[in-house]
Amino acid sequence: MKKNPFEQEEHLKYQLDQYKVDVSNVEWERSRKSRWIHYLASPTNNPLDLLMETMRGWTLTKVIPAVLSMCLAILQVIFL
Amino acid sequence: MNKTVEDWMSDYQHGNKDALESLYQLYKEPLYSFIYRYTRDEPFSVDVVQDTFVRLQLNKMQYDPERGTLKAYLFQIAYRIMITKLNRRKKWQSLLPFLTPQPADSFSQEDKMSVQEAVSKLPATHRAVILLSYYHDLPHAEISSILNLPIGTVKSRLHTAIQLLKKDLEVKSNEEKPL
Repeated sequence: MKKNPFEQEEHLKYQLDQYKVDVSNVEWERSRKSRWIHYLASPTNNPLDLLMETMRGWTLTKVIPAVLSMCLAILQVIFL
Repeated sequence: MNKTVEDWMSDYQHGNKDALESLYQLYKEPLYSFIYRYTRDEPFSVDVVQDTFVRLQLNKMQYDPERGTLKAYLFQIAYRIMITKLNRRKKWQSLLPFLTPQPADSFSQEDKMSVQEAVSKLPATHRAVILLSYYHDLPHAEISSILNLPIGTVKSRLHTAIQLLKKDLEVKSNEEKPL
C-alpha cells in the first residue's frame, strides 16, 4: 500500500491549502494580436536603471544627450 | 451511464467537437492553477493553457488511453510548453533584459504570502513535483511521466520539497509570533 507523504503533515497541509488561485480569467481563445498587445503593455525593467544606480552613470545620462545635441548644433552651423 | 474523460477524448477523436469544449471546461482550472503556482505569471499561465488545448487539437490522435490518463497527458503537454516558453524567455532576458516582462507579485494575506514565497523559493523541479502531488493529486508514476523523471527521483524530490517547505514555513511562522 502506498503511503501518503502528506499524511502526518497537518500544519503543512493547512498552509498549502491557503494558496488559492483565481481562475476567472482563462478565456477559451486569445488571439496572437491580443497576446502581443498584452506583452507590449506589461511592465518591464527600465533600461537606464543600471546607469542610474551610480552617480557617474546618472551624470552621464544627463551629460551625454546635452553633448550630443551641442555636437549636432555645431555640425549644422558648419555644414548649412 | 456516466462517461469518463477518456470517453470524451475518444468522442473528440471521432469528430465530436463538443467533447473538446467539455474537456476544456474540466481541465482549464487545474492546468491554469498548476502553471500559475509554478510561475506566478497570470497572462503567461493563460497562454500556456490555451496552447495546451491547441496542441491537443493538433495531436488529438496521438493520445492513447492505454499509455496513461488524459489528465497526465494534458499536464505533460502543459509542462513541456511552459518549460519551452520559460527557456525562451530566459534567452531573451539575457539578450535584452529590459524587454522581459516583470512577474507581478500580488500578496494579499500573510499566510498566502508566506506559502507563495515558500513554494516559489523551491528549486524548479521540486516545485513541480509538490504542486502535481499535493494540489493535483497525481500519483508518482504519472508525475514521473509528466516530468520525464524516474519514479525514485520523484519520490526523493517530493520528500526534499516537503522538508524544505516545512522548514521555510516554520521559520516564517516563528518570525510572525509576537515576542
